[in-house]
Amino acid sequence: MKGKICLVLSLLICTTMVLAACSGQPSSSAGTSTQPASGSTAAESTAGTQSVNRRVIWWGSQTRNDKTLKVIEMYKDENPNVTIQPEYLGWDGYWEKLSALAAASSLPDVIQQDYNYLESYAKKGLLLPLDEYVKSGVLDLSDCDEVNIAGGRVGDKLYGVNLGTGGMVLIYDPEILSKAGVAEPTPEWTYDDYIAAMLKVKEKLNIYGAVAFNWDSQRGVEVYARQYGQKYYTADGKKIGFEPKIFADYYKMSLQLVQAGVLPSPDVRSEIKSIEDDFIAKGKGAFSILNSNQIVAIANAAGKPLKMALIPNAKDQTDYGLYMKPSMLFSIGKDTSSAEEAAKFISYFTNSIDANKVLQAERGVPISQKVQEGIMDTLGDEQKDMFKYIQMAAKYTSPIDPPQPAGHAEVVALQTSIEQQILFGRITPEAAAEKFIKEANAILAKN
Amino acid sequence: MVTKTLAQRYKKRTRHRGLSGGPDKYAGYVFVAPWFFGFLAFTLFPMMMSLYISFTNYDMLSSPVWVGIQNYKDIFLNDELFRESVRVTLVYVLLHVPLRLLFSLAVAVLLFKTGSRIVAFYRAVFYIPSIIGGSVAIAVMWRQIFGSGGAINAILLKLGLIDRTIGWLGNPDTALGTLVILAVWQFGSPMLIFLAGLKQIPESYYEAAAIDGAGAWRKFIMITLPLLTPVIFFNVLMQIIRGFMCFTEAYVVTNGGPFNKTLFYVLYLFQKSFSYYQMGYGCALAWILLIFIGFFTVIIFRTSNYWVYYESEGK
Repeated sequence: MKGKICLVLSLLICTTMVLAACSGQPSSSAGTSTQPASGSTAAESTAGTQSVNRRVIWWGSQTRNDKTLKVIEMYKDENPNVTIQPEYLGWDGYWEKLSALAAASSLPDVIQQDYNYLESYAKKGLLLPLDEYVKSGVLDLSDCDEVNIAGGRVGDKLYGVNLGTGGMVLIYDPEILSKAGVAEPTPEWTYDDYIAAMLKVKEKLNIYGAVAFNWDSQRGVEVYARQYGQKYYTADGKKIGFEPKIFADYYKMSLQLVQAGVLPSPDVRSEIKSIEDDFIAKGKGAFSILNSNQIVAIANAAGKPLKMALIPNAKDQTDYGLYMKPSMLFSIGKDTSSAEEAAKFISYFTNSIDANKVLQAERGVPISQKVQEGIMDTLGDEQKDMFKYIQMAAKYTSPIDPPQPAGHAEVVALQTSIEQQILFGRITPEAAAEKFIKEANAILAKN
Repeated sequence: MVTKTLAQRYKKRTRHRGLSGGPDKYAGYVFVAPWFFGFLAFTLFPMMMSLYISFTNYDMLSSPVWVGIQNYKDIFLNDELFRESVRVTLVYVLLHVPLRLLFSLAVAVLLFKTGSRIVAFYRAVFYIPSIIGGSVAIAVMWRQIFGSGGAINAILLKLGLIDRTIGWLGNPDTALGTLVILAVWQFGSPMLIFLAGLKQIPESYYEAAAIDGAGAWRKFIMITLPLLTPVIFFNVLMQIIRGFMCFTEAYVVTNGGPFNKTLFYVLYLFQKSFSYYQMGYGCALAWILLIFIGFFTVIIFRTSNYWVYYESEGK
């Protein structure tokens, strides 16, 4: 009797394990396959229509994932012979996964790309040039301004289609500011005004002013350098392009705020990984410097209206630090079996008004004029604000710097490590600036 | 006389069988074949590839470029993070191995003394962390527990032991500690091995000691420990090797931790290979790790002659 029970139990366990193993799809941990099991598709396949299987990969928070999945469904409704396997994950680990796929020569057909990585991927032949599809009309960019398309060019070929224009923005919670008796930011604000505002918020309401001086510290330093006419990297990408004083001053400001309890200490900061965890999204923060397209997700998370303002100016700045850039792009991977199909999908994403009504400009301002006008009515207030912001901010920008050189990821990790040492009080900002530049140059020298 | 003849006869029989050939001679090879091909394809070949790649610059997106021993030179002469990661990994191993062994031995002795069915239940319960411990899920959960809003802070606050939440994972002084605790929490598997070792000690020794008037502590030091040394040796060796190869916990819980305070060696290797597109450098790091571990293993084996007592050899 005992033996029989054991036998049945072990069979059950084996079956469960086999089922669990078999149901795992090659997409990400959160990915679900959208293989249609409908009878009509099966009939079509057996009727001899070739079923085209596409893989699309992107990074995003839950908001973006849901919207993109819905658009994929819509595309499949219009093109029933196409099966699309979506893969999505967070920003963390996206590029590691992509490089592993590249090494295995199994890059997905449609890849969401970032301005920083586009050049290295294009130069290594991992992406297909899109010019022939634009010329043949499969990839329709006729309604788009050249200035928005240019970001996707490497050399003279087009490798990525801009999915949304964006720029850095100072997001703030008007309710919190008014409670603390702080005036709302103006285009003339300087960093001193920004710091003073956060100090007042902390004094009156005893909450954090923000998660960090700038969510993306590397871009924070980059913008600060640009405001003084310097660049993060030299033109040949072999050295750091700014003086130690820039780095030291930037972190002196951050350190002052961390010591005042206005910004969280690095151990708390390191636990905040997605913008939905931002203090402002929980109603407990005043400011957040992010990318303009992130207003949608963060306002959703906050559940209340948030406003956008220009990033602070630097004292006696010589140039505008702000620049507009493609928030992200879609490219075609070299391992695709049908680049034309992939181009069709990207064209749909760019031009379909219905699809963009679902996407709600979450990746940034769409580059197609027609789409911008077509979705304007359906946009929520945040998106309308984002459109207005991009139009307004365009006056306060200077041209974008060339894409980041190889070794950029390692330099960013180095900056993060040194930033934590500064904010833990282990090293002074001046000494840290010297250390950072020396070690970053060593990394870049390998190029 | 009789045995000799029997042995001779047995020898003749086996030789006879061998000479006639037949399937038996090759049966062994056939059974081993599946494993052997798997070994060739999934272990030996990748190892040789990685050895080759370690002498190249390989960014995975284009072909490898031969650079000779440049990677090794860079690692030993120019790489501060390499030394940091070695330091972190050594500290981790030196901390968690003794703690884990002590804990598992103590619990094994406790569970061994009281023999009852409830003991079997506890044995299973204590073993569960070991089974699920190495997984990503547990690491994610660990990150939650030690996070600012997590259970540890909540409990300590309630007990009044701390007055504000501590970011255990982001604090350079405590980050490594959380990973050590995670390792010690998985004391179940060495515990089971200790239990097996304890079972092997003959009761008669204890009885003899009791007659001579030995107390429980004396018995433990004089009988249990010496006879357990082979098991201790095994556990120490396995845990040191496992400690050097620790990756999942470091990657998920702290990802190198506050400014590289928890930059484990394999995590650094992963970053170099996949995040910074320097696979050649990563492969060089991997082979250096192999030599490290081999070195430690040899040392432990050599010194084992002095402290491990194998009853069967009657030394």
